[in-house]
Amino acid sequence: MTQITTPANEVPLRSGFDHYTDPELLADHRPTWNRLREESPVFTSDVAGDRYDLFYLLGYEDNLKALQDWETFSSRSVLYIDQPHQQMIPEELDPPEHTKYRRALSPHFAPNVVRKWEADIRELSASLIEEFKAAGGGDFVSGFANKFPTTMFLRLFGLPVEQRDQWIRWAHQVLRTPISEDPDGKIREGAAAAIVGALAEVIAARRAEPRADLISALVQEEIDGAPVADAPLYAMCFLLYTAGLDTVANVLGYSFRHLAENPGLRRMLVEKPEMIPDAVEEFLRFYSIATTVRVVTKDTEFAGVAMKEGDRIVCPTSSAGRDPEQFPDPDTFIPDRKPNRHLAFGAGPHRCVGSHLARLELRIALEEWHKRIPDYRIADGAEIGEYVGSVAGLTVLPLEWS
Amino acid sequence: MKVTIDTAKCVGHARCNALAPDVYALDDDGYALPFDGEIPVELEAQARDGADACPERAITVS
Repeated sequence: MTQITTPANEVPLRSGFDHYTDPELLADHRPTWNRLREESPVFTSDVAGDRYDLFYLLGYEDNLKALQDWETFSSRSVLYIDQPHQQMIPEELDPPEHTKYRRALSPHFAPNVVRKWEADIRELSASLIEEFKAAGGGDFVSGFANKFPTTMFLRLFGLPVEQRDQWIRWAHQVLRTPISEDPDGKIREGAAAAIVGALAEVIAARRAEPRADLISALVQEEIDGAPVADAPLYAMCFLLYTAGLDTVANVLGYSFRHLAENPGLRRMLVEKPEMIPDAVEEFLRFYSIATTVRVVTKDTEFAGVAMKEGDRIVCPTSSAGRDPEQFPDPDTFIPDRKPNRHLAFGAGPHRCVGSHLARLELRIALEEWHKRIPDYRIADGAEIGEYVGSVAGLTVLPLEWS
Repeated sequence: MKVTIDTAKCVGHARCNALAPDVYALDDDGYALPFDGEIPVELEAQARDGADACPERAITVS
């Protein structure tokens, strides 16, 4: 357990605290954020060394305000310990540059566009569930949760679906490798280079001969009156790919563990599937997975704390989602909670552009699964590991059904 | 009841439209279309639900 040291009139320091590796967080993720937030809603860590101070913001209100205030908190790097890395666009741009790329992406992920994919998403989830059901049980994470959004992403992007497992491995290397295991960033950079290489081939092919897929659509978008250049296009596709794979899959893992352990709630969703959309919002709040980072652009006082230009803030939505000041009875799952203004998709200009697709995929997976497999449980003696970092998730979820 | 949307604050969560489709309309990018005016009595509850759902607090009901 990291000890708090509080010099007079200063923010508490948890020396060495790192949300990728903190043993308590890994052993007991959300209760640990709760305890840390109760002890001090803002604390600092020296894990970035003497380059800059890192401030962890654990309260809902501070997360919301910081994510909205892009002028004070820049997205120019979203790594908490900075390293050379494949840029992500538009995530790692600030307005007004950000706005141009965001405008090129938004119309392709708007609610009324995403809705047109519903039949395809439903057909895919049904066929994957049927395939998994025939096995009579197994690891939900690898057997369904990873396959479903990844296949959908590859189809929408016009990427080779038969290479799915390779794409999943690359995403995991980029997103899950702790900096402590990859101090020079080589592992993640290698995976990022492989992803960009594979994307570049497809981008070149679609430039020559457009198809009815998202890469073809993005190739035809314009920034400042000219087609998007290769480098920013790679940075956009790289972001969409990493954001599309290890996110819906992880929320599905948490949601199905919750449902396996709560048969009353499960029965309710089986009998009243019209409750699923609200329940999806509560799963998103209860099991928010993303932790993002911003760079402080000027000396400022925020959340009662003095920050210097160049410092970084860490915003764990998993902590914000359990803040009792925003959510009454935050550790109780209330399927029809209202209001439910969770920050699972962030806030401010960088709000997850794929949020509407994610919501649709989550809803359809819950609907199609429970039509086919209404009763299931966690396999006896199963050891379910959890990882925490820029995203959090379960490593496995062994399920059984009869 | 009067509803005002601060479109400068809207970042396209689209929760207002999800909860109150008869009150809040979206543009082609999925962001709230400007609205500033009276809400018919039969839509008041919906309008309030949609406003309460906005994570950015971009909608004011008065």
